[in-house]
Amino acid sequence: MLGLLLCLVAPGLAGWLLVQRAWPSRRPVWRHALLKGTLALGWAVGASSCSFFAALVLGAATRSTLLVAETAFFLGMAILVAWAGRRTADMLPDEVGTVTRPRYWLRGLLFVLFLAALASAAAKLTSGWLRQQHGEWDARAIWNLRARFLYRGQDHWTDGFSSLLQHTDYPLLLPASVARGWHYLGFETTVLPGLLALAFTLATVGLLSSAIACLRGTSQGILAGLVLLGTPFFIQLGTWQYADIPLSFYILATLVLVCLHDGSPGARPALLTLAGSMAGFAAWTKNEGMLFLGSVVLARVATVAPGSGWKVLAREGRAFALGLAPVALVVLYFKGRFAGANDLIAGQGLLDIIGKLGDGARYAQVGQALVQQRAIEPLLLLPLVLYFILLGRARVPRLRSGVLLCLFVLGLMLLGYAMVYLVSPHDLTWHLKTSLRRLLMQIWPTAIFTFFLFTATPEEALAWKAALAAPPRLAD
Amino acid sequence: MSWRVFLGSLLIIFIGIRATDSVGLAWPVLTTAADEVGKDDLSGWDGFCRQVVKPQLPDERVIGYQEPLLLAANTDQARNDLAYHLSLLQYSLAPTLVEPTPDHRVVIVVSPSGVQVRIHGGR
Repeated sequence: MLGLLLCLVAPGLAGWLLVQRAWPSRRPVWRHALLKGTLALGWAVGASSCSFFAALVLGAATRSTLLVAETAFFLGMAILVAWAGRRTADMLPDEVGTVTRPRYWLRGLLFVLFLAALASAAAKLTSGWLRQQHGEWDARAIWNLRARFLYRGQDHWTDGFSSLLQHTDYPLLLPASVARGWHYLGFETTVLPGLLALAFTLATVGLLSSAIACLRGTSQGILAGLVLLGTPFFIQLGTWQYADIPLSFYILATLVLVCLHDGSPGARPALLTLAGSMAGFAAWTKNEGMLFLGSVVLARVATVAPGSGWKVLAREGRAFALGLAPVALVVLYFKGRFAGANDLIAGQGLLDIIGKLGDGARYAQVGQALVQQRAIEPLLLLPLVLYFILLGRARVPRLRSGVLLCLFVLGLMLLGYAMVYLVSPHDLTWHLKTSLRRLLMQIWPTAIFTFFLFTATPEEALAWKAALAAPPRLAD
Repeated sequence: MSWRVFLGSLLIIFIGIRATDSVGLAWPVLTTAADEVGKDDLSGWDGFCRQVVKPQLPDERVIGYQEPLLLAANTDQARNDLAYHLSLLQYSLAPTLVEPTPDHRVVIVVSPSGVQVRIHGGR
């Protein structure tokens, strides 16, 4: 237990101070604390998996060396950040985009529903872990297997990238985090990957709820969390210990930070720097994270350059790159030095790919799969559509660029997924059947985030109604 | 929009969410954690490989793997079964690499009668 605490404390403290530095609050509010806590957790797991990988490469991945070196590194960083943060005077308002009077009875009602769904999801995650302590197929064949090689392999840890194994090009955030935890504990346990899966699943819910609460109001935030908690396949993926959930967390975290930046009064480049780190961690989690990284950069260029100009874009780009660069170096080093060939590209010529892109039947098959597999339950989508019709569109100009960015990213990600399927060298039916629903879950929390950013809040809807009902005031 | 309509819309959301999840989320609340312990059949296999098979293996980084299916893996089902067994064995024996050919000094043979380790020649 002490090992687990030591493994978390130093990177967790550094992560918390980094987030606090990027976004100081006027006073402690639950939504701020939850938002910062989930972001700090994500940063801590990502950064410590990078430091563990560095220790492996340097041949220093022993318990005592890790304990001393990582604690010194992360505490040093924490002290530096705390010292630099003293000079930050300007604070953000408690809620960025909400101006309406809170309705406490409504919050209370929603909060009770949220707690019920949260308890249900936590029970599902726990019982799922008890039933499958080693996770589902991909967890055993890829993520936890790789963690075993990193931990048990000692000097031969690179055997985990042998051509005898599959998907050796997959990045290491998850396996390195599990193996690092085992090093700190001094023994292997299935509790650790289970806890990590639970933490990422619930942290994604917490991040979504708190981000919407900060940007659009508490009731809206609780509703957003309720929708994610009520997505059965999302919770199921958490019990399977797949990397799709951590990836969905980092995708959401990146876009939340950019939206907070855009919605804040005054320039806050530290939020973009943190967003850069989160985007890097997405690429360090799964190959689809690289697609996301490309998408978010392209979407930012498309949404900022026309309105604000290239100078603003360059300034933002520098802040983003500052956070991204260290993680990108780790990913590039891993890809160049250890990763095997990608199964989607290897063995395919340009003519093969062009031939598949020209095959209309493949487009139809991908489209059909989207409908037939019911990737997102229609019974979940329909209430959201009704909700939007009833409440209408939000009127917060400050968040317009954030919404546009999210929509761009979601569109580009969907386009990227479709391209992968269209040129896939595998049997397309099998490929779609085994992965489509998982891929959509990677962007589902972001889709919910965008929806509740874009839709009016319950308080706004009630305020408009009250304004319409009020008698007209005479001019002075 | 009246508050009744708004509450109605909330209800629709909630019912919709719950309806999609009639089994997935509601039942585990009623399921005691203790009932789930021991249902993980992979833990038994993993423990068997660690405690019985692993001690028999000499210090070699790659071992062979053979089972009846390997010899007749010419159907989709046979190939899937082979991939599944191999994946489980690889997971449990890591960091020893397992190769699905019997051309190694150490060969693990999985058959309906059990798991055997064959070692050809001495070191």
